Amino acid sequence: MKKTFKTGKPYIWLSGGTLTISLLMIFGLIALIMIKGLGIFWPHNITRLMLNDNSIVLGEIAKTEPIPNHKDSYRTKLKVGNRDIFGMDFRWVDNSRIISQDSPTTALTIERREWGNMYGFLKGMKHDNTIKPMNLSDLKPLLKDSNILYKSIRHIEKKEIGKINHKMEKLRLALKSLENEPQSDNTIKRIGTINTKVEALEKIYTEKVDTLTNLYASTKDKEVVIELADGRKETLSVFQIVRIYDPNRMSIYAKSRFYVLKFWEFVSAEPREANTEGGVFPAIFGTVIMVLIMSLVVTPLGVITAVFLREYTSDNIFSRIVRISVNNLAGIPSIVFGVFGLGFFIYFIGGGIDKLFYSDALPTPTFGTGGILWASLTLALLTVPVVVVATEEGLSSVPNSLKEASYGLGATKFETLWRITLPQATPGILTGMILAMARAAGEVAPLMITGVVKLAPSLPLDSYSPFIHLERKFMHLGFHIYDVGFQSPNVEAALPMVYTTTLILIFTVLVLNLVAIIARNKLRKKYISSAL
Amino acid sequence: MPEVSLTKEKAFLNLPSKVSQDLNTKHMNNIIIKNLSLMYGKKQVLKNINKEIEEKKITAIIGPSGCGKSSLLRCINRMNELIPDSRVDGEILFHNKNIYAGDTDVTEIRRKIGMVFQKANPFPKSIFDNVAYGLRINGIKDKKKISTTVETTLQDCGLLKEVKDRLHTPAMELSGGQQQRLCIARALAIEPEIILMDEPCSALDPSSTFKIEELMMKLKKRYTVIIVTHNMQQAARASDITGFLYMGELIEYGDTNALFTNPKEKLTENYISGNFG
Repeated sequence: MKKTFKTGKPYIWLSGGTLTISLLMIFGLIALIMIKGLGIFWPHNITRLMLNDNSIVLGEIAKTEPIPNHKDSYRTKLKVGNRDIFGMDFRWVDNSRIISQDSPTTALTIERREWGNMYGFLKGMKHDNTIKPMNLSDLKPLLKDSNILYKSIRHIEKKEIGKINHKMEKLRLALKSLENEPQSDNTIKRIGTINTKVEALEKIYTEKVDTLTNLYASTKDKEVVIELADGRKETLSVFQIVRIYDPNRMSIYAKSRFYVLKFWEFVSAEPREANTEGGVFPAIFGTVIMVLIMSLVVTPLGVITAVFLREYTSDNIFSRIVRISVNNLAGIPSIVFGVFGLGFFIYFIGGGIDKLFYSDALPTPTFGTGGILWASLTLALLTVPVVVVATEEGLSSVPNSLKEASYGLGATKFETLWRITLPQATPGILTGMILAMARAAGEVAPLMITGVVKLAPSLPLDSYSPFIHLERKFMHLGFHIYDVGFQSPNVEAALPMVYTTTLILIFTVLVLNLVAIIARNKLRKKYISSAL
Repeated sequence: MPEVSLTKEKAFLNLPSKVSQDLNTKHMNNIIIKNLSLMYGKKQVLKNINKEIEEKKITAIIGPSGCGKSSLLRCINRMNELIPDSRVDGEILFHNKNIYAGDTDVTEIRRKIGMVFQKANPFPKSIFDNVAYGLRINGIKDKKKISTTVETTLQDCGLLKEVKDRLHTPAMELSGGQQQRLCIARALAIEPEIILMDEPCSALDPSSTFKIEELMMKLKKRYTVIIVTHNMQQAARASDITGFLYMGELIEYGDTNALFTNPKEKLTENYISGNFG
């Protein structure tokens, strides 16, 4: 027995075993998230149930489970949609009440811009007071036109009117600052020019609003009539339809194509319907930009601290205090960082910046409120100890012989540091950056206080100068998960989306880390130790 | 005496361009060690060394392990200061100025007194960048000048033929002997006056050792060389003057032939004949 332990074999098995368990747990978690989340895009078949009280229900079967406290009885959860009509997206039906069920080939799933899905049969197009019969293939081109119309309306609303608003805001601020100055001929002239510009802009604005009104009016002229499960006929404007499809008739190939399209919409489009439908693109964008800004801040800060601790200071009481403080930062709960960010960055520094540079806009705060800059800085503070420790490791791995060679040639300490030590320590620094990014991408609590919102009107990066707007609030995948899962009005319907968003978050962090890991591996090959 | 051919932003020791025949300045380029003592913490490593090292000669320092040979060498270009807790008493005069005085610029000293270490330590850069490193940190930016200096130095070290077509490949890919010659080239590129060599061949095979000894003989014409070695045959072969160091004290010092054939001290004789150390 003792002999077996001496060979070390049991320990090899033990380490292998624990590694396998860890890997299985990770993959199991990801598989669970994938199963629960990726199913959301698959176009499920529509089932029609005939109940024993002669009512008919139409919808997607969500799940079947045994009724609690009643053994051997089951009930089915059906997604019946039509939230504006029925009040709820889902409905439970006892299996004992079902007489028969079928999958009608003409049943349609209609994704709407508001109020979620509708399930029913297409009766036709409303024409005066009659119904002109129509089938799905005739409707599709109309739908395409309607989508183009929607895009142009959004373009006018967001881009064109947004531009006008942007210009108006700048003129308003200029006017306000001019009015605060002592009045002279010059200022009066300038006020006059600004007023003329404002008038011109207002004219363009009214024109755009008129165009919009016309466009909106034109959306109402095409309506279709949908027959629901219970025979009711509902009128639906074509403009309200995002997508319409007949899942019972679609082949696997068609369904797969549909799946890919829906997935692409998820990652590239904006959210609708209080974040429960549509895409998560602004959240992905906000997360990535925030992590990048945070990395840009934390890397110099951490590297300089580590260089100071290792190269420039001797082992005295001051350096020990610094080191202990840095290590303790790692243990502070992240919400405390959020509160610090609020008090110091937002109120103190942000308020100061507002008073100095943006006093015209007051009392509306520009930097004195949450924004992507303050959120990134708060997270940078959170992850500084990781970078410091990793950089110190990297610095200590630089062999003394190289430094001596550099000093021997007459280099100063700084030159040696800059040309020899830091390049050699770069893989260690990158490791620190990778760990910092991974930690920061997952922290949500400090962000909620320092600048993340449920729905941001614009991205932090856009085409108006100065192109990156550090004072804007942003969306974040982690917060989005919380919001969709626990704060949305329709949690049942949105739950699969929680899983999908989690997947996207994991994937985004993975991509960010992969980029850094590849960079580090390339550098490692370059700085291998001496060949002797 | 090498021309002062490098310019630098900082002021440096002004050197005459020709060897002066004046008796007063005859020994100006020698290194004069006066009452040098070195302590690492509480341990005294060097005790009261007094010596004058002649220019344009190869001086060898021999002695058993741990006697302070490398420490003595490192005192001459103030590399001992990199070790915490080290303290130096006494003076080392270079061009009649104490290099340990408060107002001397240590990087200037190290530029004039180059060093080659026991284990070759090329930078993880290309061969070209290794040799050019010293030139670049001394403010030389002219690409053509750097290029010519690198090639000339590599030629002097006998390395150019072997690496001519791969100057921009990593230096780490060279063999041990080539790396050591590269390190010598790197030290020579900035045209020092004195070259300190700390057991340069101890990690090399005999043929590389032979090449480096040949190089040393060539260098003697232009530079002063001080070499620390374990290898008595090498000291006997290659050096003009030998010093025997034992337990931090300089026991005997003089012409190599005289020291090896007719040592004055008993300790020296014991060491040379292999009775200890």
